[in-house]
Amino acid sequence: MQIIGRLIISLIVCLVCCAHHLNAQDALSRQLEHANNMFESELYFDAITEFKRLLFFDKFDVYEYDVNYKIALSYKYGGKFDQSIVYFKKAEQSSRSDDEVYNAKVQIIRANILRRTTDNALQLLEDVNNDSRFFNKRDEINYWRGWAYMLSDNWEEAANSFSLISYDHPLRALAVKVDDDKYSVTFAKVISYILPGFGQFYTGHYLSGLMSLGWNAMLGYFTINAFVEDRVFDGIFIGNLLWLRFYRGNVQNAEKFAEQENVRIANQALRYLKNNYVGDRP
Amino acid sequence: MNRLHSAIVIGIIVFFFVSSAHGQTDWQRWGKAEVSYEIETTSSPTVRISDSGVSSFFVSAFQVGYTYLFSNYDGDNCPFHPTCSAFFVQSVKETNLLKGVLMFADRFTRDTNIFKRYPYYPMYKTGRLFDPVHNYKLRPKEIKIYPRDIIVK
Amino acid sequence: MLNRYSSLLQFIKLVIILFSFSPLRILAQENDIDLFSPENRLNFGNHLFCEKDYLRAISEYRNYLQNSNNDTIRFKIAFALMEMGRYDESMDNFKSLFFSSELEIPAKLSFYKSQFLKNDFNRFRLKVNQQPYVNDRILATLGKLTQVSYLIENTLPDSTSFINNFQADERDKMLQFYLEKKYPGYKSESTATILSAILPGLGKIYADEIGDGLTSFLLTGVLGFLAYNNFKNDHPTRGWIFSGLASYFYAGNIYGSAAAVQNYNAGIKFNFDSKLNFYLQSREYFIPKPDFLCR
Repeated sequence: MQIIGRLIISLIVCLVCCAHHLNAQDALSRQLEHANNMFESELYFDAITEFKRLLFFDKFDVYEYDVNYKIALSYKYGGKFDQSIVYFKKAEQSSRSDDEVYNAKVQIIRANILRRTTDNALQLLEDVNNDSRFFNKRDEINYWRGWAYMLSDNWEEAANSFSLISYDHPLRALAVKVDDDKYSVTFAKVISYILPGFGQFYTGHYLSGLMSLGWNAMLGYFTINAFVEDRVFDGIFIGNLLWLRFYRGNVQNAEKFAEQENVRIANQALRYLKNNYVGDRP
Repeated sequence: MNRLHSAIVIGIIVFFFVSSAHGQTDWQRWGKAEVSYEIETTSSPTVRISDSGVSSFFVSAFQVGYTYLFSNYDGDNCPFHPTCSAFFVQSVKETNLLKGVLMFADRFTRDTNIFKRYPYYPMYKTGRLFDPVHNYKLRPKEIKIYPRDIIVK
Repeated sequence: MLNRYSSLLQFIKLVIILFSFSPLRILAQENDIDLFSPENRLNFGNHLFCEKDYLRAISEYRNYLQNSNNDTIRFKIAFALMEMGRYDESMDNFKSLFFSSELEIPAKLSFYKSQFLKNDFNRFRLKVNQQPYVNDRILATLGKLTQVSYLIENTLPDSTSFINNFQADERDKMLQFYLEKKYPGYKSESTATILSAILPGLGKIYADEIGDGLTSFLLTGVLGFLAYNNFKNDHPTRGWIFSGLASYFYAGNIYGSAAAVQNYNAGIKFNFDSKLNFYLQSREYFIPKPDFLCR
């Protein structure tokens, strides 16, 4: 009887204390839930306010990593990559395990890829690659390296990076295709040096090619004609100020068309990656 | 020496402006933003012949002719933003035909001077030198000076 | 029986003491807070304010003020608005502190600073001169800002009355600004125009655009020579074409010289304004900062 009484009383005391404790814990965890709800509803500005509130009252830094990480994600989804990186760095500093360090680092890299600070992204990827803690993450590192190259329009290197994961990687196939489809800017320029207008023909701009060819033929004729008729000054004037200008213009024109076509081809692939690619994206 | 001093002072001011701008991300509410993966293209806008008045008809006809017959094959000789033909059209629109024609001659002279390039002009976001129409309309109040070490957007 | 109760009591005490001092309990007490209580909104708002996260800070402060009356917080709201460049709102908020507050003086000074920062100096001077809110304690500072407004605009007062408004440690610098404004070294448009009419390009050289000037001279000169040469060699059509082009660039060069001088002068003004602005910012616009602003 005595033992049962003691048990009942101690149980009640325990329950009261635990309930009190649970209730108190709720203040911060409820706030986390509140902020997370806003985050899930894509109200990123307000979510940051509530995450910051939680950070401010979290005296024991229980939520520091998760909250900084979420603030950083909010900024990222708002397109504010600079701020996003600041908070991912804070998350990295407050990480409690190697996995958390890695996640924060990769997010910093992904924000750099989106911000088009590719050199930073590649340098950070190299650092992570050389870190013995992340030895088993090589495939992921190569995957993000491939993305960094794709978004900076370097499809050959992108294909190399993806092939380090697997030769059959779908993004390798895409990068190889884009690289193959692209026009050679050097070839367009060289052929235009030899035959004005032919660089434009190479990129499918036939009318422009004909116009360029026409201008160069006409001005070339005028220049040579002037020299033949001993009008040296006219010859120098037309040759230097007009023919050379259009000859150089023809090469630049061919180069511009090749570059434009290459951007069009690359953007087609990038649009696919943004809208249709199923898989992790930066 | 005096110019150097001024450049340093302005550099410091720009630095302060940039560093204080860092805390301004949240001074206005913002929402979700779609981030494009695509490469930004800076293709020049299509030029068309305008039918809203005689003056603008001639000017736009000039621009169309200049662009399709001449400018495309003349190479990328114009290092400025706006480009020479766009500068001419904008000048005429914002002043009158006579003034626009004179402004174009002056711009052509600046274009021909290959020794005055960056950093004597501020850079426009497309990488061209920024040489806006409003600085040459002979209206001092409209002149706007841009620090040379910034990129005009 | 008594013994049984006392041992039971001892046990209960032990359990309570154990729970009371457990780390969990301490954590729980710390966390058992209402994050949205007015006091906590205030604390959080102050934290945001110090981080210059002004928009969020204002929102917390406004919530706090729904239940409390605090002039310092009102001041901080107005100050945050001013820092964000929302001057009209900031002035209205500063006004609410004009009559019944210990912060009257800083609020009035900041009110005028907001007006000054709007760059509408006529209105600024009008508000100072009408003196609806001006008293002796702020007059000296407003006097300085009024003189500075003259410096920014083109209506300089007499040097003695200008300099008398400033304290000894400010006078050297302000006098330097005054002289720079009064004798800016502007160039004359008419001189440039005449010079360019006499010799193409000379006006541009005068406007410190030496390269453009030489280009102008060469361009007009070469076209002129081509016209002359073609006329001389019995090519009148070409002669007329080159004459037309030479005249066109000659006229363009005169126009351009005037424009170049205007740009030169605008550059001087821009440099002056930038330097003055930098000085004013470093001196906080002569307004002592209240110590409750964490800066």
